[in-house]
Amino acid sequence: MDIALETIGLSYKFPDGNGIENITFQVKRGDVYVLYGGHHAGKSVLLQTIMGTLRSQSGTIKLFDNMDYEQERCRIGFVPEIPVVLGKLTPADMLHYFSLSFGAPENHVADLLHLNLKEKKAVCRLPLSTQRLVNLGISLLGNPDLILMDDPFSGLDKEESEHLLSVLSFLNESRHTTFLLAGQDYAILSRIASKYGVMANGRLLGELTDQKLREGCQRCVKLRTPQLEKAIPILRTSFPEFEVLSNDLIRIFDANEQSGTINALLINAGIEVSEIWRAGMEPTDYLLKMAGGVNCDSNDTK
Amino acid sequence: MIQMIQSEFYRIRKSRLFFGCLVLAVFFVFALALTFRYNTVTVPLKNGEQPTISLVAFTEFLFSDYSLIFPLTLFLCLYFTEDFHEGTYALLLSKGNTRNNIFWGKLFAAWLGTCVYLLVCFGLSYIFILMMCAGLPNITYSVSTMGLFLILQCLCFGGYVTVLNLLSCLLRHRIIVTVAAFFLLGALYLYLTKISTALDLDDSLYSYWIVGLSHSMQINDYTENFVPIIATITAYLLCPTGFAFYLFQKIDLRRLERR
Repeated sequence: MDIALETIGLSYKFPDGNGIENITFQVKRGDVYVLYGGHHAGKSVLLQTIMGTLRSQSGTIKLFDNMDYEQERCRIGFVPEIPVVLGKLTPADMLHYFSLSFGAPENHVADLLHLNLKEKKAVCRLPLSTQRLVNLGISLLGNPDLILMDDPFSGLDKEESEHLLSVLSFLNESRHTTFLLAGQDYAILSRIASKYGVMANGRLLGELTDQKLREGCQRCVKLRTPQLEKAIPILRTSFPEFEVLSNDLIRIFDANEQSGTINALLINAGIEVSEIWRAGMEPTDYLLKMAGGVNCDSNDTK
Repeated sequence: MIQMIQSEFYRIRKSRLFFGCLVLAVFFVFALALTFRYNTVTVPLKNGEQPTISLVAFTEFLFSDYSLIFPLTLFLCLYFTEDFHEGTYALLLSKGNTRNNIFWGKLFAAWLGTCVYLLVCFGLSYIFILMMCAGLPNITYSVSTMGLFLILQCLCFGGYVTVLNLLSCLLRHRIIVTVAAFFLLGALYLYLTKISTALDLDDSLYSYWIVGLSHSMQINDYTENFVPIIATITAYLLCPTGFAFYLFQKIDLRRLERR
């Protein structure tokens, strides 16, 4: 599989100690990779370091399997969280300015994004969603293969988010554009993400695919029984990975497909089972717990 | 880099602030020409004296007031710091633009914009004075003398542009840069002129302050001081540019967070 972006041991520390440390990850071509984490997790710093606005203090960046980073940088686009607006320039003027800067023609960008280039208002006076679309249009100049977006859905309402999502999906599916998105809105990001990288305190804590995340969230079987003392010795012999959550609630790990077996085992031993179900956490909570954002309550159920 | 110069010049052309500052400067220049005519023609006539007028006095008069410099300083400070304020560098650095290209593109475009600004102001100021004082003695100089003089004036302002560029790279916040630039103008003017005068220095330090050089340069004697003038301009063009270029390679080009 081709690699669109690879960083090895990338670090950038500000004097106050914030920043990123030893970030190593890969984004495969055609993927929609989501950097997930709370505020000050280091997502934006990582994007800025990849873009070159911050010079990395250590580590390497490889784009499209080419060690010469500068040579391939023309193939990436960037959309910042707070849209760039220049003075009183209109959308058409801004696209023209960046088109001149990049030496790339402005064809079809406006059609793709449903941007009205006849708009006479300055970009700074337009809604946030339009400003972000103008910035996305700028990043699309020259047909990039990789687009970096910092918190693309922040501040957008449902309809605007849906529109942006449809544009991103279209680009990913029809043009095979690779995306590296930073954000923390799981509900919307999960509809396009193919892989997650969870960040906190400037570190990449782990990576998981969408499938692995779902599996991880449904990783236990919970059962409720009034005869807890009798159930424990039986479970200990057959399913040693369990946890007592309260005086009538047990959580059993590594037994996702064996809820029937557990139920039969306890019933045959004459133990009453009031409830049994596969349980886990909401993906958001799972990711937050992974990022150390909140201490997930073990009673959370799907 | 040519692409960057083109795009930056396009941005200057589209800037309302640039035209606002230009209009303000033209208004100042016109007001100066009126005042100059009143002081040098009307007042001597009232006293029964024969008015004498020369471009030497006018050029000195024009540059002794900061009519051209204030609007230009305002525009350049905001122009150089806008990218830090808006976070444009992050977008510019994609698509293969390098820091070198961005730095030189912006600087050359600023020089071009300044040249346009100066040509309009100089052209109109000379037109005003020639119209108001036509037929009076000592007004004529050869075109080549005036042309070379104006080129030197433009180079002086080019040097000043590099100083403002350096200031922007050092301080980056637009309000801080603008306040610092105006503070420097005032402080250096006072320090280099008034204190030199108070100390009765033979050779005023003002001659070596780039904006003051415009003032000290006079159309009748600039050829005699050609070497020191050129040396001063070269130093002002090269030193701040070199230092600003070095800084630009190192500094953090992120958008400055609004706190």
